[in-house]
Amino acid sequence: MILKLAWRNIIGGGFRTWLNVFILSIVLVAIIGFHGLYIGWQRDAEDNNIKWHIAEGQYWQQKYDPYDVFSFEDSRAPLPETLNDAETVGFLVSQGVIYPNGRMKNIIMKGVKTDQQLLDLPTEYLSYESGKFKLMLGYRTARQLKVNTGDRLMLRWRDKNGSFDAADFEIVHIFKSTVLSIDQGIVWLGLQQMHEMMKLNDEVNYFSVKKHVGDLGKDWQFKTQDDLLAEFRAIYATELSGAVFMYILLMFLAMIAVFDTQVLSLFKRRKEVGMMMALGVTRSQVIRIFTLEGLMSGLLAVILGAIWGTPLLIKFQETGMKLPEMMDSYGMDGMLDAMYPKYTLGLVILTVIIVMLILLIVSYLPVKKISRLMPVDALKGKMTKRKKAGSN
Amino acid sequence: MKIALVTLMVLIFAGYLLADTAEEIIIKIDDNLYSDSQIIESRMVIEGRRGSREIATKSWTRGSNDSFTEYLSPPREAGTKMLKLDDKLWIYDKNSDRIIQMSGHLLRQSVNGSDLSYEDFMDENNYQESYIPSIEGEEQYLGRDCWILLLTAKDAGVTYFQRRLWVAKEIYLPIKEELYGESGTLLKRIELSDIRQVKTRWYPYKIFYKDILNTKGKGTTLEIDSIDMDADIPESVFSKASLRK
Repeated sequence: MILKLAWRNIIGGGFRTWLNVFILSIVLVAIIGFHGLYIGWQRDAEDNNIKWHIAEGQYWQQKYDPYDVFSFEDSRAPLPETLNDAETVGFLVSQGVIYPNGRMKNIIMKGVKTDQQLLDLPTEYLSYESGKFKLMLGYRTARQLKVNTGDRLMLRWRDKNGSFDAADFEIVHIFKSTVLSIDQGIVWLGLQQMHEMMKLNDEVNYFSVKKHVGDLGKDWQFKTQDDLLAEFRAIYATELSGAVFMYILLMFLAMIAVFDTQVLSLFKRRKEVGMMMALGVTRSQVIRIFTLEGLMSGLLAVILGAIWGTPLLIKFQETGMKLPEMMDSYGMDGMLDAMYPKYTLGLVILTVIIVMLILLIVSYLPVKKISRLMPVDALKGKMTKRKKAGSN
Repeated sequence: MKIALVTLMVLIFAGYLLADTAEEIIIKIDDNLYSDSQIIESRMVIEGRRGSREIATKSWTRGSNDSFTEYLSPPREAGTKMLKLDDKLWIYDKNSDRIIQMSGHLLRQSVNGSDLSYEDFMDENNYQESYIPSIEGEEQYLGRDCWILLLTAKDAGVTYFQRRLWVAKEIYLPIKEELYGESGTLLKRIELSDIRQVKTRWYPYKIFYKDILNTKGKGTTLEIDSIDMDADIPESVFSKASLRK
């Protein structure tokens, strides 16, 4: 009966009810949409990092520090012989200088095995041809340098003995990836080419593996996917905390509306409350009716949100959110042209549960004063409270 | 006729005997440019995109491996000191009052964005030690008769695999140098001018460095204000303690 009453009251609420329902549905869809964007960003960045660069993990030469360019020269060692060639991709790293259009720019040179199948990095373009100097760039770097496939780029380097040399390289390919660590400030060369240039044999600074192969001695340190993704995850967590703040703000604004509605509703229907209590409806039942009304508006919001929000979110997932050009210079994985949201059942259910829980509290709080309402005064249209036992 | 022919042959043979070999030329160049010790006050003018900057320094060098340099101006740089002993470099930064050691390969970084590396700036390029010379030919350059010497690195580890020198015959001093990588790519050009006699030696008071690959760059000029060769330099100058004095 309480349910029926609450339902009739909510439907009878008219414009005010539907306004609240609509606002709540916007909040629901917005939270799911935005959080889906964050989930999509995280998944894109991590999945692509694994596919393009880190595989199941990397072994770093124990002195190698990707953030210290001066560590590159001292942190090289030959690949351990026990490794399966097909499941390993070695990387040789060194400093270099390129001269795009006559300007000078410091760069990191990375040599990679060209016939590898482990990573999505299109290394086949760098296949070794004697006498030919080939390099490959990421999209961001190419855009910064204002170069295209087929252009030529002068590259100067120092070999292992410190002697300078330079050559005119052809840009054989420009790849697009959301993984910053293989793009920004890096030129890619074939490993054999780079060994020849640097007068090195089989040395590399680090290598990616299909699976962890155990301890390889004091020369090599294994970095798991979690180790390698830790930095991105830290950035993600910081960004997410900003987003959560936004969700709380949205929820707060919506709940204010619900709270106000409940207060107004109670005030306007005080005679009705008095009548109900006079007819034998207990105070707790009256409270339940009003609380249920609030919850039902939440339920209606979920239904309404599903009706108009589902096609919108699906479309959003297809088109993604286009990013301005400067975004990829922010230095974050997963951001290139656009971000694509990913929605999970868990996300939707959790959002609905949280919204409903908050709605429950916000619907209950203003109406709990009914517990102290005097039915006779309520019938008269007053909101006087019942005195506590023992007081005058 | 016979006598004339024999005389001519003797003269030609004598000419060959008296002509300088590439090795002899290099020795004389090194004698001009290098001494057991030097004190040099100089200014480095770096041409950049937004105008030129000038850095004044005073350097004390010992042999071909050790040197101590103090920046005298501009005020932001003044008080910065560098000590190089063999392949190690220490830099003292007066703002942080810290001595920072830079390892060998850091010597190859550019000095203040100039076309010189720390190696170029602080090293003494002793040609005899590092290169095998040969005479390629002769040419007139800037009004001076010059030998064109090709120097090829003796060992790996020499910064530039080959150097081509235009050596002014009358003073045994290169007035132009071209520096090449092993692939034959021209990397740097150095022009030496304002040549003056310093005691028994000839020395360039103006040296212009140009990174050939950086076509938009305008190069770096090193101007010598004063030079004292075979100067008496206390041992204590070439110690880390002198960085904080």
